[in-house]
Amino acid sequence: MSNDNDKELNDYLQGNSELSQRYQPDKGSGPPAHLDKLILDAAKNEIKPPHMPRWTVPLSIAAVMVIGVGIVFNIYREQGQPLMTAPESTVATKARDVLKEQGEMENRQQIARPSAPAEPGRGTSAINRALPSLNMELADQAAPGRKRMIWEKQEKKTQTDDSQDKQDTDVAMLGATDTYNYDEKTVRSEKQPAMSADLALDPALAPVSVAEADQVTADIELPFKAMGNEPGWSLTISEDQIELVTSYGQEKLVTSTPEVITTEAGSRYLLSAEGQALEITIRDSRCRDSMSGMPYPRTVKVIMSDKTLSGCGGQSVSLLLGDEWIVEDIGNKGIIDFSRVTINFSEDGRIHGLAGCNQYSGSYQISGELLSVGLLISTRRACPEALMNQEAFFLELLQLATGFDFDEHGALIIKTKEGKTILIRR
Amino acid sequence: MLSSVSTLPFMKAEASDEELMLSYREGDAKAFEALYSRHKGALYRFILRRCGQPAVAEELYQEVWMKLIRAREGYTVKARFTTWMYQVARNHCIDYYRRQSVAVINDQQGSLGIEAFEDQQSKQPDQQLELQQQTTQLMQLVEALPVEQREAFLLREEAGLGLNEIAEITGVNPETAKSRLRYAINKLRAGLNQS
Repeated sequence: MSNDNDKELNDYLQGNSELSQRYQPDKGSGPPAHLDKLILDAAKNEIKPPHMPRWTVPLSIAAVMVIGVGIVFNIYREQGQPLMTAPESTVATKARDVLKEQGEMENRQQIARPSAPAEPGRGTSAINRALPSLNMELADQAAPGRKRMIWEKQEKKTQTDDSQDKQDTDVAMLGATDTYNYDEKTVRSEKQPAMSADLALDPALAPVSVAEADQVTADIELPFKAMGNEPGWSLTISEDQIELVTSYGQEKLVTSTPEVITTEAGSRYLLSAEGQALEITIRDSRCRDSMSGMPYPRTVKVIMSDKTLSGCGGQSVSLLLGDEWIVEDIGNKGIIDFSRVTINFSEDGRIHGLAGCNQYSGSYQISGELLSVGLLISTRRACPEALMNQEAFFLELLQLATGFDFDEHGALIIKTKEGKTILIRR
Repeated sequence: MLSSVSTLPFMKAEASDEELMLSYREGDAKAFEALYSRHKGALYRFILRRCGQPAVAEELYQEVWMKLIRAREGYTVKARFTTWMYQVARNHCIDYYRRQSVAVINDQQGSLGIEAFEDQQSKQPDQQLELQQQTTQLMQLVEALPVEQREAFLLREEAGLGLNEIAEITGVNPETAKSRLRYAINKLRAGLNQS
């Protein structure tokens, strides 16, 4: 039968079929004349603007190159910087010691980029974000520098003869193109033994080291809000002022925002207001509001002369954003083996994922103590019945979400109206 | 090499679609006219019968040509012009229905959802009536085909494309394209024999 079919199909494809002949008379109709005119006119108009002279092409390429190289150069220089601001950086530490001796200790960041031009700040980091692949490349390039610095540290420990009298920094090893000059005493990598070459070839360390450096210098996002209970208090840190409201809103303290002290444990603000000293510590560790049960990304402590306030801070939603969550349990019923159910929360308030069979999407909102999910829509593919049932159950529960929490193992629990839960994990 | 096409007018009559498009890129409006008149009927009918009622078809038809016109400057010969043109047409058609539909989102495994929706659309009663009055029996049978089969048939009949090109345009493998076309012609034959 399939042979017959193939023969018929082949005849048809060769144009020997009655079907094609009968279709012919139907070919008469075409587009209306006004469309013909409209399209042909548009085609003519498109070529009306005179062609750019040929010489403008190389010129524009050259212009792009100049700008592009400039950006790359800046990113490159920027990228070298976290490596240097990392606390373990031998050079930076060394340089600080030197400056301390000279009695002109300044903040570490300035030392770390002595020849960097005007404050690079946010603008450059935006470019960094926009060019992730380039950053990876740069991180790779920067990696050997870091490795070598680590090696140098070891070397220095073993080398008791302190021979660095007047040496220059090996600039290239820092992955930066500027000439760093730390006056008197600096580290020099002279001839590297085989060991450093080995280390330099290991590609695994590069992104890690950059990420580490970023973490240490990670700022808290302003305005930063925190609050606690019993007695209720709230704290708002903005660019220029800190406002602390205590005793259920009866006492209010406003002061200008001092320099933040960033340590590995977190961020700290030391301030004095109305004659009393205050210390605010913000730790990067998950926190649950003792009244609402809502989780927050930061744990906050305010130490005052007569009391200590504990509470939570940051944006709850930041706990949900980021990588995809994999659903591990739906309403305590487990999940069908090998079925894939996922949830993604995005910054623009959208939720989407795979429901096991179909894809779904919708919106979500966090307000006060509540997580709510708007109407979910999904594709309409059919799957085995059990999977379809699980999917329907999952979507129904997700639609009824009221809040979320973390269990002791770090899994996220989405709570729903009827006390049912969805357990998800990254 | 490319400009030689436009400097040799006698070649116009036999110039390939790709050569015409290249000439148009170089600023030859006549080349575009030739290209347009070569394809206008088939493309219009493909859109009309693939995508629905005349008002929609006209809008889409215009959009497709505008897209081709705007692509002029960056045009290079990567594939057959017809393959590209019908691909653009098909995508516009699918996008159109995607814009119309609220409850169905695209499904990565293919656009089954969209196509099902389009089929629902094309079965609206007043449209059916219109089609009955305007088209022949064969056209009614064509209209009644599922969209994938109808598409394959139209690409064959209107655009004169082969299985590989149909497969490429519709984003399936040639075997699938073949079986769709086979189903289409079998159904059409059966329908014609019945009456």
